[in-house]
Amino acid sequence: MRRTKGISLLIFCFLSLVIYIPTQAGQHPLLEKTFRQIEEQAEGTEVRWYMFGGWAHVNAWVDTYAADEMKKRYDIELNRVPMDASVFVNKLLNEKAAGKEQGTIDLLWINGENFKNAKEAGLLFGPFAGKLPNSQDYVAPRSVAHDFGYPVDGYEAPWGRAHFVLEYDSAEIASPPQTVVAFKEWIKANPGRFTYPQPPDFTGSAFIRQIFYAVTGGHEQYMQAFDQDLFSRQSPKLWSFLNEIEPWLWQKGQTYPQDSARLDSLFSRGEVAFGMSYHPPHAQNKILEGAYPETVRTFMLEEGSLYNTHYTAIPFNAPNKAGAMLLSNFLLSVEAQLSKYSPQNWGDFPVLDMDRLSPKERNRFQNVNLGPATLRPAELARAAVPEIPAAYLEALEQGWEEHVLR
Amino acid sequence: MKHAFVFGLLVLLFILPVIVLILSSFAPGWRFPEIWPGEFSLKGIEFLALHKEKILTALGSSFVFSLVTVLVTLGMCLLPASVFAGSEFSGKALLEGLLLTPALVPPMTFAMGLHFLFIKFFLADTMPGVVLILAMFSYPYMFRALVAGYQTMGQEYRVCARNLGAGRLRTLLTVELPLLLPAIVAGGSVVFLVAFSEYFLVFLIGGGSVPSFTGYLFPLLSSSNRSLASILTLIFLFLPIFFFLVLDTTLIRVYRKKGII
Repeated sequence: MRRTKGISLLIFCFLSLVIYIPTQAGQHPLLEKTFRQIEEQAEGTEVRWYMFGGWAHVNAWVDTYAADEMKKRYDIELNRVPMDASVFVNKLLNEKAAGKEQGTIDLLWINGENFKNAKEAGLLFGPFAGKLPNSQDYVAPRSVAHDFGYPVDGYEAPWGRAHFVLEYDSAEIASPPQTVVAFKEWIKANPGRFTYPQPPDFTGSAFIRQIFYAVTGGHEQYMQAFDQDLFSRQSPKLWSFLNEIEPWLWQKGQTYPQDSARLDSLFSRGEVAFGMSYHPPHAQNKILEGAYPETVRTFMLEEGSLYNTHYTAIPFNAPNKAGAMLLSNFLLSVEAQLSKYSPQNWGDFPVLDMDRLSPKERNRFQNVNLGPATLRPAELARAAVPEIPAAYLEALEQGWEEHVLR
Repeated sequence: MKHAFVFGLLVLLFILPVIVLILSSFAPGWRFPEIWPGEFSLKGIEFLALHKEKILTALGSSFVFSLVTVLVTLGMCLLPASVFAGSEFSGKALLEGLLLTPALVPPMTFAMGLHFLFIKFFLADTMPGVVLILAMFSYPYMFRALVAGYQTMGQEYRVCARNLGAGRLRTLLTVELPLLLPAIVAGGSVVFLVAFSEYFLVFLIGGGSVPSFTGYLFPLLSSSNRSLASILTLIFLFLPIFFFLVLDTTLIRVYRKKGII
């Protein structure tokens, strides 16, 4: 898979050069219709949703709950297709370059640098998010104005919120280290018991950003556009931190787990003492699945915990844009967000603004049993720090390969 | 004694991993110090039952495009293989080398460029497109097997049949193909396996519109749900084995009937 990524990146760069097309090209007729008309148009159609397929429980949620509801509400056939975000962005680039006006993808699950790349290459349809009634009613516009520092402009609709947490087994470690410095000491005192997924894995990349904030004095300085000077000055602190712990890591740091799923496996087998996830109820979900012991708990470091929002977007050549908008709107409904929130199903945090809900609805969210392994949303919100702009993210991932991996 | 050692080694290499797979299918929480899983669960099987429709569609689709790929490669290779086996000409070695490159070059290198062409010719995201790209990538295995088959067969049977007045097509159907059957089965098996287990090409050209078992399996393999991954791997493992068993027994029956063995 590594090789695939490298090659697709190369081709991506090449194609981006060839087909840079400005995005603002007049309103699509669909966006001039009312949502009622869009609903009528989409009834009885098929929607093909391309999304990351590596989480069995998320797949199950989409295939059963979401598919059944879409069938019941709109007689829409929901078809999930597993595909990594970087891959479908490449596919769309190829299709755009070949002038394919009728594609196969209706909806994408996307965020971060993939969204930025797709939007800059003119691969997305929109702005549609403002048209969705549930987005108008329940989502605070400011909370979804930027995606990794890149303006969203309604080209993607939010559907979930992620929060970075670390996981440990309370039967083994009574109290986990609370700060980055203490964490470093712990790693050195327990050789071979810690590792992190190799960036550009989503979770591993988040972990190094987390450390980056902690060792360079907080996130505020990075919130503006990318600053090369600042990056050159600050990033060596991160590399020296990561290189300092490297000899004490799992396999002496000679190799890293390829993705978060592999770290999950190591943690579930007890080979390493810490897991990590961008979904706070992930540990609870794994306990319910039977993969983690009941005694696993989650925690955050005092320096804060990253959060971000993930979205759905519609490709420029989606054959069924109306159906995609209905699905995107349904995913933002109170019902869908509640169902997705429960660790039994998935445990993805809601993206709705609790102040905009009726007291009754708010109660239903508060009554979801997150289980003993999950931190309370209020605790998480207190420690929340925003994601870094996408340009820093890419620079950090490249830098990691250069300074830490080699 | 010597056989016992070899047998033991084979069991260790091939059967033991399968046993581990079967065990982990039912024990998602099998952890390090335990030699035997502490608890068993049927969650993986439940997931399977819940998604049987999708899995079966994917399996069926994979099976169909792999079989069609075998037929297409056979069609592609019959004539060139007979020429290669039966004649000498300058530059033959070079040409043979060139013909084998698709099996040596990583498919990604040419698939990306071909994807663009396939979109232009409306082949992308269709079953014929998938078959075509798989055939393009896997025909060398069929080609090699057929060249060997033609060489073993020799020219004499064909010459004889033609002398007796059989047309080209008739010679091919009633004389050459039956004699080439072992070579076709050998080459076809490899082509089938390559096509059946190919992930990237099917994924790229099929674009998710052509379901495939690898497309279903791979994302779950990298997930941390080991029990599910084990179950699907077992299916992946046993389906071709089952297919070859069926093929083998039918072939033997056919040979017996014809009195070849």
